[in-house]
Amino acid sequence: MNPVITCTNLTHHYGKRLIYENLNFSVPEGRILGLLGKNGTGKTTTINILNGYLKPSGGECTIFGENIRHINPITKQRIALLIEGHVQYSFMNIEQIERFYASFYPKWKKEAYYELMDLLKVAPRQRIANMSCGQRSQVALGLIMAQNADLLILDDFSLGLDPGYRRLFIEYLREYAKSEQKTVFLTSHIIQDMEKLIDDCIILDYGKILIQKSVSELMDTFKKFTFKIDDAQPSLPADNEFYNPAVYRGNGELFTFQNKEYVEQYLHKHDIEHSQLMSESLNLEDIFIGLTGKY
Amino acid sequence: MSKTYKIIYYILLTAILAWLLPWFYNLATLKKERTPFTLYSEIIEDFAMINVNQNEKDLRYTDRKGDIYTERQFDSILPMFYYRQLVTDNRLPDTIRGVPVTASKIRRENFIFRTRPLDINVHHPELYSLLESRSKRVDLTMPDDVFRLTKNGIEFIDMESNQVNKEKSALFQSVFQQKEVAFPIRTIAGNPTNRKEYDEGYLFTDNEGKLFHLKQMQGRPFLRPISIDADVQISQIWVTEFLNRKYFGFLTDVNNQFYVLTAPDYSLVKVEIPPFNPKKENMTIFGNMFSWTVVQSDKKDEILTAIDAKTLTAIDSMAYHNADKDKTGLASYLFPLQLSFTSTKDKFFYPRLKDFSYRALALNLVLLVVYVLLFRKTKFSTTKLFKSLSIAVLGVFAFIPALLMRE
Amino acid sequence: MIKAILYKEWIKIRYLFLLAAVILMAFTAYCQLRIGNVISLRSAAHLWEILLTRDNTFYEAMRYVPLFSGVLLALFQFVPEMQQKRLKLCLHLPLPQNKIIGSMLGFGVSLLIILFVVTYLIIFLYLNPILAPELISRVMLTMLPWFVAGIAGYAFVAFTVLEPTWKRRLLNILAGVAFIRIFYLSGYAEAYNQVIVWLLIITLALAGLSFLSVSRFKDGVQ
Repeated sequence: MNPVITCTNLTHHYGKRLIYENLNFSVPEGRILGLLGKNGTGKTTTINILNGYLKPSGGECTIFGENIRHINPITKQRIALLIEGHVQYSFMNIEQIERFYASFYPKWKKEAYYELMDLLKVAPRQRIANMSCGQRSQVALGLIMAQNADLLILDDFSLGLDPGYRRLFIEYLREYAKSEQKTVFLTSHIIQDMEKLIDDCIILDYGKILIQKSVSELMDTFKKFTFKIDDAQPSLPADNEFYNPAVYRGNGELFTFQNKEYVEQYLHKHDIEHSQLMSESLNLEDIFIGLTGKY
Repeated sequence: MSKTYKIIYYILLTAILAWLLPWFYNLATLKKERTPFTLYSEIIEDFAMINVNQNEKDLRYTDRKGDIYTERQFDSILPMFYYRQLVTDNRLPDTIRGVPVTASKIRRENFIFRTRPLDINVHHPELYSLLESRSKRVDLTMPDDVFRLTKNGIEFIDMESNQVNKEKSALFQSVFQQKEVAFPIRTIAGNPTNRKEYDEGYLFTDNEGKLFHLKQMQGRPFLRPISIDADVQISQIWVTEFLNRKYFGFLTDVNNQFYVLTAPDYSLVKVEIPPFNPKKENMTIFGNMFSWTVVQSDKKDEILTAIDAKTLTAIDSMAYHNADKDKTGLASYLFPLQLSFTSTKDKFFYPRLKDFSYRALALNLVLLVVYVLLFRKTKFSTTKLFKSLSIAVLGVFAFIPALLMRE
Repeated sequence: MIKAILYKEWIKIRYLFLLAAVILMAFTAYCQLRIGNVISLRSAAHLWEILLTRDNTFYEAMRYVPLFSGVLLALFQFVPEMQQKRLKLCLHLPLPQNKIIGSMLGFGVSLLIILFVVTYLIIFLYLNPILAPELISRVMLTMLPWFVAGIAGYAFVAFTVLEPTWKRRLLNILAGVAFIRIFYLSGYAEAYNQVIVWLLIITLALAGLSFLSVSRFKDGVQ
């Protein structure tokens, strides 16, 4: 299958500050891919570059095979965009904004929008500026669904949403994307609930990609190991296979894609007295913390 | 599009700096040197002047030779100008140069005439008030109509109704035809005000260059062709209406010769002064029964000519060279040119480039080198070449925007 | 699609447009009331005499009103676009970028021109029975730079608001102040006659400076 988005050797600096260097990734058709990372790792930078709001310092990105710096307006019709914070034309009301966007998109599905709007308890003449953050997110989502694009790019859609609306948003979006076979590229800094939405994830750390895998593979293979050790052991020696090994009050913990045997060999090799070695499966949020660390 | 506008913005900023930098510089440094107030004295037969020192309080009364006078002495060597002081002090002589004088006679004979380029280089609405010059009242009154000169005639418009007064227009038009005025009118001058002693209406030249005198007398047109030398092509006219009633007006021709149209005989007499271009120079005439002091000045020089009031020939002359220049001369090293939009010589707005200076080229080259060094890491482009050329020619004006617009 | 963009622009500025129209009309009415007073308290001849001999037009109170209208219109049109970087929405629309920005600017400038032309028409209709054509043209030509300044005000405020960085915004403001100053440099009647058409053309061309701001916005200049 052709990738919908490809980025090769993407590099960006703000002034002298390096955001990341030589990033390579692609988004396959029909998948929901989440770009996850802590604040400041360059998630929004990537979205801005993809939408042509930022000229990268180096590298190249294509969407539907076209260079994103000069994308054809016809191709743009196939891309829907949700801006960080569900920003929309808040000086319009829900009817005006629907009328506005409808004329730009030949495949516009008015019903998809009003279906969602009916769930909101807002008057048709109420200005978007006077709505709650959750209501605004639904308006933005409704517009994206009505646009009926092939690719959806969502920048930090969870920002400012309370858990109810976040859940609503996720459920609606997943159902929509899967039934209509849409490709979705999204970012989030809240990982909670994300496993219910995304198929694949890219986890960004400062300056690089930590991992790009499907969520199911990640949840199957990434484990946390805990064990009890002697108080005298202040820290664990580094190992390339381990993420964020730590000791806290005699409890050792480490994260790895390796199995239990590998961990036992490791502890043995370094003569670390231990007991109660246990592995546990993790949810996506814990995997994220395990990979990127708490700090 | 944005590339074009990058250049446009650069040009705009350069133009703004070419205007504002010299403006600020001149504001900070320029000091206008005042020339001494000077008049020709018919007593000492020389120019006498008041030198004003820098503190503006210390006045020095001298003549051209350098003899120093007291204020009292100065009054008496210029009795025509200071006659009121002399009358107050009871010092006015009975005769001057053998001519019996009285205060009222001096007053009647004196006049001051002023013309500035600012009053000539201006858009005037082409509507003219023609006063009644033979009214039965003592004071002149403004008429309730105005006239306009069209391609082939004259018409009067009643101001209250904003309608053409057909009757009056036809009356004047017939007289214009009778006197064979060739329309359209080229130059016309008058003083449409009632704040004067008497009214002489208008002097004008027609399309063939003929000179006419137009007045309104008891509602009837007075139109008199004035025969002048066919070689004289009038370019500027002033109706004088001085108390002495000796002249109808002053005129200049296309060769910048200055003439008086004498009254009541309508003869055109050349005044022996250097060429005078009223569009570029100021002129002030202090006239009295014996002589005129004619002051012609432009930005650089002030030329004074003493004229015999009877013969209108030159008696004497002198000149001041104004130091109306940037004293340090620094501006000529900083700015290759200066842009301004207005002038003290006209009431028009348009861009004017002046004060071109080759001396600024040195600074231009230094700035060009600095620019090339600063931007040596950016790759070559036509924009960069354009900016380099601009800096070479326009120097600091183009250099600053290049820095400001650095990415 | 262009129609939809104009619809969006109209929603943003419709109340301000009405307000600007009311302000312009109010000032026009005020000035004309004063002219009416001169005629009724003195005479029409007195009015003519003043216009013939002085640089007064009786509309001096309106000097800065078009500029004010232009500045406000641009603020109301472009500040909402820059709040939360909403301009991104616009630039994402499936149209060439220059077409989008061009139609936004064109709409604003056209509305201003409509306002100004209507104002001029009202002034002309009022003066036509009172004054000779020479004087009407004198009044209108003297006022013309103030109205072109209104367009310049719009152009430079749009240019400044759409600019992404504060440093450059400051430069744009200074350039705008200097450029607009030009229209108020000479207080003499009809002083701008020779160049006003050129100034208008230059001003309309400078309305496109916003393309530069948008291009910087798209490059993500910070």
